Amino acid sequence: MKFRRGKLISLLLLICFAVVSVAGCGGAATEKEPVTTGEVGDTLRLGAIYPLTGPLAKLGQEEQKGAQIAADLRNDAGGINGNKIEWIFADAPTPEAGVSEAERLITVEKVPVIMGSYSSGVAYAASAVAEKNKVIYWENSGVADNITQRGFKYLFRFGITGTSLGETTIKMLRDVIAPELGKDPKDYKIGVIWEDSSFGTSVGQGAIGLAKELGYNVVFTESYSAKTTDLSSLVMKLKQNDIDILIPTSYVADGLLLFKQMQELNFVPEAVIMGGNATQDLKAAMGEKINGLAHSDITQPRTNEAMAPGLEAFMKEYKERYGSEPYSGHVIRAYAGANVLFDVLEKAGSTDADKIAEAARSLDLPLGSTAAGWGVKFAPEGDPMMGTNERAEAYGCIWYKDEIFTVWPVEGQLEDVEVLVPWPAR
Amino acid sequence: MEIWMQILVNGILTGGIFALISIGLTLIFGVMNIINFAHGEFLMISMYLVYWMNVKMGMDPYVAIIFIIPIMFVVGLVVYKATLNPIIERSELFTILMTVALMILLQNLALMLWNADIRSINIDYAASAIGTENIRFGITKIASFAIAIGTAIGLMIILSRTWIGKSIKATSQNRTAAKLMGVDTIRTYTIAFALGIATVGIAGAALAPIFSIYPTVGTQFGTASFVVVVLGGLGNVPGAIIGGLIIGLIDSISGFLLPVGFKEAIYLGVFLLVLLLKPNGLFGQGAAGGGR
Amino acid sequence: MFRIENITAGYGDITVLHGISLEIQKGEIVSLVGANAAGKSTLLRAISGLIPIDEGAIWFEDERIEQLDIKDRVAKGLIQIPEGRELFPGMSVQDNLLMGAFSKEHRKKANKNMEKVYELFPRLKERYKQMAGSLSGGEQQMVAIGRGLMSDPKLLMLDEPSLGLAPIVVQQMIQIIKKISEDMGTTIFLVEQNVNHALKLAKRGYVMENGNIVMSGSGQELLNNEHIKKAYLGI
Repeated sequence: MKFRRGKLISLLLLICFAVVSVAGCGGAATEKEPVTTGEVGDTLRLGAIYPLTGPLAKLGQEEQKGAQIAADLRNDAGGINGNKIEWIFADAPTPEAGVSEAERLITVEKVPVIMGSYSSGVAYAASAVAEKNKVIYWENSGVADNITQRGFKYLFRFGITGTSLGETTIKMLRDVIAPELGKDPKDYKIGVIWEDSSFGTSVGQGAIGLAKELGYNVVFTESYSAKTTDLSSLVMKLKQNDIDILIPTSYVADGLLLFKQMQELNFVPEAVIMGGNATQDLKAAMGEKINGLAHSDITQPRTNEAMAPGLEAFMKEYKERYGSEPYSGHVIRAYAGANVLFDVLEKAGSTDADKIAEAARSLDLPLGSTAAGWGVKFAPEGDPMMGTNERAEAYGCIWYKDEIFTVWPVEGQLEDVEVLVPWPAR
Repeated sequence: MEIWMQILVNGILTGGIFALISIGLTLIFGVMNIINFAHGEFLMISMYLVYWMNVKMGMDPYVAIIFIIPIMFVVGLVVYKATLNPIIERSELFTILMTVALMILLQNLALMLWNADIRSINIDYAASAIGTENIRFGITKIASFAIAIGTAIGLMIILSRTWIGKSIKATSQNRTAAKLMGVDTIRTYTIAFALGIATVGIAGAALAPIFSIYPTVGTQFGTASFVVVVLGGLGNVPGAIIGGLIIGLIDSISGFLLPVGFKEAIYLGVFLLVLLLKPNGLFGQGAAGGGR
Repeated sequence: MFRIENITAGYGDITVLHGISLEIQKGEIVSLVGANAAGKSTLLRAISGLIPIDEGAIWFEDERIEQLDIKDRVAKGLIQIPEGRELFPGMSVQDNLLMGAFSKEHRKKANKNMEKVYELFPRLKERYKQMAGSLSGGEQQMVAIGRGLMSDPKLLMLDEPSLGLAPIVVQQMIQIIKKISEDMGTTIFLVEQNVNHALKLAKRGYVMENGNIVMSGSGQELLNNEHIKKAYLGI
């Protein structure tokens, strides 16, 4: 008797776990609509894939918000060629889910375009499905370089690449940090470290590439696993090499571990320029110690409107809807990218993939044309990075008075920001 | 030269952390032959509990240890009774599957309850250190080391000086004979498991000021602790301490001499070597080992 | 003080005991003899509670105990010294002995009884800290018996105590068992393959073959029995 009851409890628990896992991984976020062709008619149905559940959900949901605000504001202004925009959102916490959701959006929902994806992994996988089916994949966010290194005809990446993130750290050094410290950037011993996924690697290599081109002194480079439980050996090597400028590319958890261990072990570079990761999580963990930390990242909320038209209006709309500031720049990028997509669709006047691709490739907008501050010009057919937006560039920003401000390019600076170097809290 | 002193210090202090995390695992492994794949997840739960106690009640994590011990002990009791006790008589494969299921369940539960945001405990002394300019001892790491030793000693005292401790040892060495002595072996296993989980709870509290907290944080610690436990011998509590120190030193030294990306490969290589040459661990199965 | 009626038990679908009945009076030494695999150890397991019985009753001191948990039977003083010693190899002699008094009811007497065991087995006192797994066969048997005595057992059951021991050690052990019965007044149930020794020691005996009691009588009667002489004593 006792044994049977125990068995029952075990069975119940196994069922519970199955349910929770499935809930945690997320199923489709939408209901199955009756099959339509997504034609230019009354409603223009467009697909969008983001991680809406699971560990990446926070930023996936932020991008979803950006997409929705873009659609709502555009619909208020008359939609696309008089058609109302409707997003069909799909949840992809993993690349595998991205593949199956892309397939579903294409074959069942019959959307002509899929936008996405926050995660480089999801972008890489889902865009392959779209390309196979001759459906436009509009990627705003994934930064891994290899996403647009496959010669895909129907893939367009509005956002920056990892290489750009890396290069901007060096530009920050050259144009902001070194002048503030009053020295020639060539006099510094630079250390570049990165977490070893495709994200970190793209950024790290981008930084090293530009630094070497400019003749800077990159003394030490190394990658590490973001899952590491200890970075003290790495910090010791940085110390041993007398690094003055540290360029780390990490996620939040390992970044925090790095800073803690730097402080513990008394490693004090003059400045730290992080590749990416200017997020509120970082601020919450570091408090006011964060002031003076520099990043190369995507467009932040506190950027000058002159360089990023539409940003102010967007920020206002976001605050009205959600009662707080955006968590990071991701939502801005999604919003800006969605708007460019809408413009492309308007120009194409059709849901035919080739016509849309042609319209996209015909765009030639200078820097300062979008709410993200970027321009639009996609690398043409035959280019090894075909589909990449050549006018998208990572911006440099710095923490000041507990908030993050864009400081590079100079046109993007919103107010007089004090660049606190040497970083006081290091 | 000073750099090497610091590297050794780092290794020993990191080793203390590995040791602390592994004590509970070796106890459960040794007594009940249960390979607890959810070990890291209990660590994660404890870290979250300490985090909430800090955020909602302003409690210092080291003070929180006092409460974590009974809380995690009860968690261990409940989990064991509900999931493992019913199947412990079955094959080891079943228990492994169950602990894997627990691992996935706990991760997703944490994700559902607390979402994926990276949490951090902000205490002033989190990054403080004592020592000279070039040889530094992080305060939180010294504390973890001391807690590791204290926990090991406490557990060893329980195992050797109390009736319940003796019954745990006896049950793990000869279950039939233990039954003939009047030991309630189900109750003994339950308490042993709960003790192991309480120990992991202590580790969670000690680690909370050092590491960020998120639902999957347990995975990386889980792997390292398996290596430590095999190295130190199943059920061998002092072995887990020494094993932890050895792995900590390997971690620190190889991380310095080689690119840090190879650290894990090195101590997984050590793991394989030990399994091949001395499968009972460097110090043999402990008093609480050899579950029959 | 002890009686079993019609015990039927086995493992899974295999019935090993086919309706066993026997009784033991207070202070007696009763032996159960039979060949290997006759079912003797199975009977002891059933009496201790390690395996459940399919049919029958067990009476211990006027109480029916066949539904009780092992630990409850132990608490009442029904103690088994199992076949093959079954010590705790990684624990000291002293700790092994202490485990004999593990039941809450017996713990208070633990230290007093340990002294008595050391008097009976001075060699154990010398080696009290040594790991039980590193003792000789004879010493391990001493620990096993000593462990059984730690709780002042009302009924002490020994399963094949002479198995695997050198003849001279077996002789010592017979003396010990006698001493326990005579000096301590302990009721003893002795299960043995060595029919000669078992029946010499016993006041009364039972013979088991293939899960059935086929014969019973006083120890002397059985020793003189023709069938026993031929089948078990090789005479």
